[in-house]
Amino acid sequence: MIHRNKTSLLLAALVAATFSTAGVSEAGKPTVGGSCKKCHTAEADTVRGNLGTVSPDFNTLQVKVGKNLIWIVNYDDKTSVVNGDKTSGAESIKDLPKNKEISISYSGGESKPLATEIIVKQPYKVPEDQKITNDEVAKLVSMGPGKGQYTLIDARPTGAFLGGHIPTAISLPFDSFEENCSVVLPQDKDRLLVFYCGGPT
Amino acid sequence: MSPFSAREAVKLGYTNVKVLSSGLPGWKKSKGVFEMPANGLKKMIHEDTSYVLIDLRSKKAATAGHIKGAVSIPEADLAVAKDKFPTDKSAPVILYNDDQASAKTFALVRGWGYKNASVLNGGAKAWDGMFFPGDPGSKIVYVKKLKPGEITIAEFKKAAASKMTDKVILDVRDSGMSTIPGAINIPQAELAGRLAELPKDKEIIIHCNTGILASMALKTLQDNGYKARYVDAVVQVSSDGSFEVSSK
Repeated sequence: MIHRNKTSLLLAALVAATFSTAGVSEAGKPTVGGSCKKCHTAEADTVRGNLGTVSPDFNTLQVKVGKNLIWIVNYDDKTSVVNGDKTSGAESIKDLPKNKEISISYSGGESKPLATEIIVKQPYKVPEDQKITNDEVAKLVSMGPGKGQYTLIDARPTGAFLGGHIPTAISLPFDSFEENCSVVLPQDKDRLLVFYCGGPT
Repeated sequence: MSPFSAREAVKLGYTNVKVLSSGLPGWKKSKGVFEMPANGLKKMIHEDTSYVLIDLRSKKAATAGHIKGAVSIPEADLAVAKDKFPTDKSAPVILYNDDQASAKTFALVRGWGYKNASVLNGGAKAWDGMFFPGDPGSKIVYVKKLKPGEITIAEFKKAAASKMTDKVILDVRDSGMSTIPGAINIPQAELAGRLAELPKDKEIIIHCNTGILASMALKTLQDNGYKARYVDAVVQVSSDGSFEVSSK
């Protein structure tokens, strides 16, 4: 008896492990939508995706997690919507732009999910201590990568790099970061890396 | 894009990662030196793009062999040659000397307001392309040409301000920002998966913040049989839907 329990537990754990790495719920339903996958993996009782239709008459909203794949989640008076510094009730969900990336924590299991908290994706901000100024970069550039002990990386697409760049920069487009980072980035993990792109951050 | 690259680098274990928060626009505004890679100039020559190329070496050296399209203005004469430069301050002015053109010559031309001025990486010594013999002359002729698939700022403004039945504006910036009234917003990263939201019978006019994402989106649309053009300019949209378009 005990032995069998252990086996089934192990099996369940294995199944869960297999599914969770693929971002799929117990029933095999994806819980992390396309663009969210870049930064998020599956979490229990949480679904991440793009906001679809909101139906105030039925107190439901849709979350798109893939092509033709949606979750229908209920909400009620207790559901809170966290949008940056603002927290409001579920009625504000219908004011969000269509397709906005959201994360929903729910109770009631995936067969009848009830949203407890809806978190709206905020634009990514560079942490203050990660910022470097023009003057600091100009100083480095005047020393050169050897003396200045830095690697300056242009994250724009190759075509934009060919149109000109900050002196001493090397090109590592964000789109091909994974493929090329091992070739372009220095061996020394403590070396100063400075990234820039075509827009202010 | 750079904040995301930085984040990936941190994930890889790099301990000293920084992001130039003002980006390239801020760098150019602060008049930081801008460098043209040899391959970039070769591409411009190959694609027959308009550029202003200044050979700062002696007249004799320039006559012995200069890069295609260059005009000879020896470094000593540069300061008094201001009036020879085009009235269009967005013209890409590229400087080269024997070595990389000096920061001083760059600062001079940049100081005249040429915001897209650059110095050729490594100068004539490092140039591995062709040199053409003959007198390159000293008269600058510059007529801006559009890149393939590019729409002029004036035409973009017209298309965006009036509801045209044969055109639709596609905004490929991140979602959640104010958009031009009537524009469709599909972030560039999601475009390939959301093509069905776009009409096939209209010309799609693409914009983003700086023209970079828009040019990437142009390729996606063209590859999928859409008729499209993009504006290669800085587009800013206010919360009331009014917008400003300015050249880079």
